[in-house]
Amino acid sequence: MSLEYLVTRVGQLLLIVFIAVTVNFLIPRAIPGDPIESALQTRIAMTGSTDVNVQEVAAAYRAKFGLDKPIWVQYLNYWRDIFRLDFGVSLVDFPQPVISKVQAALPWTLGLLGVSTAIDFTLGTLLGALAAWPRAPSFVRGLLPPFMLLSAVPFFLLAIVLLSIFAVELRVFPPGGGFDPVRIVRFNLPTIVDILYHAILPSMSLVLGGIGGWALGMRAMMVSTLGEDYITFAEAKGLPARRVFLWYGMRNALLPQVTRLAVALGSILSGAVLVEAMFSYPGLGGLLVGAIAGKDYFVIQGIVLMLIVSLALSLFVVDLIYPLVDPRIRYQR
Amino acid sequence: MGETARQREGETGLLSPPSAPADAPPRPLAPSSARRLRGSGRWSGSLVVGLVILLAVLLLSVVGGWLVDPKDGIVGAVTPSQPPSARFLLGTDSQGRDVLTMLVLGTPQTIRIGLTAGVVGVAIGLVLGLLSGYFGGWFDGTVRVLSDALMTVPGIAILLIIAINVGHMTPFLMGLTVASLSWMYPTRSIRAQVLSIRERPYIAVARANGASEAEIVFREVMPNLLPFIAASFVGATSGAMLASVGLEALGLGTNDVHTLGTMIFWAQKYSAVLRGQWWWFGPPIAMIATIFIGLFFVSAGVDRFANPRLRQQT
Amino acid sequence: MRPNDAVGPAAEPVLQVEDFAVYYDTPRGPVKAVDGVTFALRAGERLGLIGESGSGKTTMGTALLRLNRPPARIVRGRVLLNERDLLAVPERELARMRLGEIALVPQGAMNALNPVMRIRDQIEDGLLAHGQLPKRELAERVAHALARVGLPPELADRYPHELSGGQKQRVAIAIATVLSPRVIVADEPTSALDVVVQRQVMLTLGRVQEGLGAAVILIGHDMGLIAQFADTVGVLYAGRLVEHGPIDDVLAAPRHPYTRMLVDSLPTLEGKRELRGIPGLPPPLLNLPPGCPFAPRCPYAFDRCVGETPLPQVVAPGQRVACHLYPSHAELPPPPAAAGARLG
Repeated sequence: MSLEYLVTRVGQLLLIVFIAVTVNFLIPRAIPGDPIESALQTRIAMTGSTDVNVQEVAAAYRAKFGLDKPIWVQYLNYWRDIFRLDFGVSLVDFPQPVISKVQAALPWTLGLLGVSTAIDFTLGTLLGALAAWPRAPSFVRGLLPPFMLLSAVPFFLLAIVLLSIFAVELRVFPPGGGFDPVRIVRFNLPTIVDILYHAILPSMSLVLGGIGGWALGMRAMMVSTLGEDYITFAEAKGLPARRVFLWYGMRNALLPQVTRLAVALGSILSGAVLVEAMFSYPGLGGLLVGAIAGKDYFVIQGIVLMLIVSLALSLFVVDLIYPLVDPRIRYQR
Repeated sequence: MGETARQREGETGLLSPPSAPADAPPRPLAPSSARRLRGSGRWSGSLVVGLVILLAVLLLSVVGGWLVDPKDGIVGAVTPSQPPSARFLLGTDSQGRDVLTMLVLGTPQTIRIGLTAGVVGVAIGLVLGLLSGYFGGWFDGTVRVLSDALMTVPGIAILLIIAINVGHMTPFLMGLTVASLSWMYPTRSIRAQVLSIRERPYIAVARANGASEAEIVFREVMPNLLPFIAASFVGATSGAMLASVGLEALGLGTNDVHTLGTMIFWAQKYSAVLRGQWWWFGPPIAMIATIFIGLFFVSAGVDRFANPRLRQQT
Repeated sequence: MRPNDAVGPAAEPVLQVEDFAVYYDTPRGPVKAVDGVTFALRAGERLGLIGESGSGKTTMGTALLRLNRPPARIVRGRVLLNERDLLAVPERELARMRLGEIALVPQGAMNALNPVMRIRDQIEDGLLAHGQLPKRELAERVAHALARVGLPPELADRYPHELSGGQKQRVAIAIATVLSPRVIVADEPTSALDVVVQRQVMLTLGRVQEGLGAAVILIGHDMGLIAQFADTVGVLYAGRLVEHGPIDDVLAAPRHPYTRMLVDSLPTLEGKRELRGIPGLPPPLLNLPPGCPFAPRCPYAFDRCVGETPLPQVVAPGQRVACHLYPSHAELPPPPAAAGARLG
């Protein structure tokens, strides 16, 4: 196991969580006035809703945060609550706890992110490797430029374009959501099919935008790998070209590519959140749009922390892949 | 693995000249950036294409600015939900605003946000990178850990925290907000370069001749950093613009100033896509895509002479 | 190390290389890395091909198996192995001949093995590419191949990074000889190894070769190593075979001025002779002017050498030289005094 690497990455994440939580704690308190009441007033002013009893919610929050106590006590309490996964309650759906909202959204985000990244990483890597392979059919190299252009365009813009073409004009895919709203979600085949059907357009936006980047990196890596002595030796063994390509070329060029995946996960996650927002997908991104529109401050905080948790989880998965790809890692680390 | 790979890169330096063949004339010790620019002709195509695209965008928004009436961008100014016509070239949105007017007003604002963040990000990166690479020690360690950490988290998480706490968002504040994540790449790139330049013979020569540290930094190190600063600037601007458009599309943008991101937000909010009002959401998308493709070409062009490997790694 | 007269002159040639030429295509014109090389290899013969870096020796080694990559291009010649021209056979047949009839022991033990595959899989790969085998026989063949180079069978389940440099090079020999090829092309097999390990690896290569009765082409730049190992030697200069003959004859009486310099660079047993490098640099191979490529560095050079390319000619039994000093001279005369001064 690349233990040292994992420790470093988890340490980095903890540092970020620390900074994020502290900033989150400090900024509202640095602004004059009662943060809860002002948050609620803003909300009412922005949304025109009067469904929440301001005084009642504010009192509940004041008691919870102990705003009358010294600031360092508040800070410690703040941390204690986070460790208890107590992010407060939603202002929009008072008194639903924030944690239940973000917990429900997390699997959708991880699912979409995981499947899309697996697909675009695989396709992009393969495309890049083939683009560097002299025996590959020439159309492969022709595929590269369009995908590179697509990768320059933000994911969520592709999402809107796909949405308007395939959901609105052609009506072949649903225009949003994670499943058919009239469906009773159970663990059975029609539900799974329905969920996949709804996931196609969002994941297509991530895949189309992601392939180019992976292909570009892999092509560079493959070119240098193909110059290695073990490739010549493999050919000298009379191996079929396919075997040399996959097991001698790609296997070795894959290592830095997986590293790149680990580094890029954060920005892929950001992209996925925006794509979800465009599709009103039930993941963190879909939740975020509602929370921002309703100025649901505590839900946004919960989403931020959940995003970092998602990254930690995805990183962990990538890290499990490392030793499978590179036998040396077990010994070097 | 990524950590060590990137560290190693910093330590060895990317531009250490390849060993010259024995019969070649001795290389000048400090090749100027100008020479490097002229020397390699291969990147120029991509750079020129990118610059032409970006200039065209700028020109369009400047010329457009003379032709449109800003009042048409206010809610209720024109007949709502009109498809493109001779009167409204790009149609109108469901709130009664002229799309062309919004586009022409919004494009320079989005570019301004990107440039603000690019300048701030590169300035921070330059200071941190120079100090970090030149003096090392605990400062270097702190900068490296922090920039590494921030480079790997979902940027949107950090930006959300800042943006929801900004009371009244303006394009300038949006620039500063996204700049909070635009300094890491410049810092790392400049730090790596400083580390490599520091070890070159001409620095030792300058020091032996009694030059002060400040003189060395500004006379010897800075000129060699220029291509890397340029590359970092393009990268930082592009990343910041992407982040700002994303935040705005989520509804965290300016309320009273048009940008390309807020146009997307309004179009989303009022279901322009589902209603098939392509003239509403299409133009900002096309404009953003054009800008990013232009930046992509520019950065591909700039990277080729500045920093071919660092980007691949990150 | 060298077998005594193991190879009679009458033995049948297993490999015939005729007018072999490999050029590198560059924007400024072709670089003639190998140009008009002709030689034959008898069964069990050990041929040492010696040359400076840039003399085309590695290009030739890989091109003999058609392993050259663009911009290197085989422009003409024949490589006859078992009466088939390796340069003309279709790809499927070529794949069968590689490893089966002609095997490469690559340069640089460090990078010749795939870092992410176990040794066993890398040996089996070669076997399976030449026909299906039952699992049990595969394991036996792997163990046998390793035993042949003096390695324990447990090594099969290790990864390359767990082996020493000498072990890796032996594994490379084991892989190359797993199908008992007729010809082994060993391209500087001991570069990057220290002297003791170098010797062990060469002994291993020699033993395996004798066991198989295969012929070996040993490519190298170290005249000492080749003198110890080879039966015959070929001297490459600027992509041309300038001298070729039995090693003892060449060492005792080098005919080409360049060979003389190589031989003179060898330390003798007495160690009295001053070690001497060869002055000057090999010529750039781009746009070689007509004439002998060695002429600019040659102390014997006269006007004919500049205008006319010398062709190989037989000067003694089994010994061929491409030099204008012959046939007018029987042996290489002592160097002219003026030239000695020029060489400094």
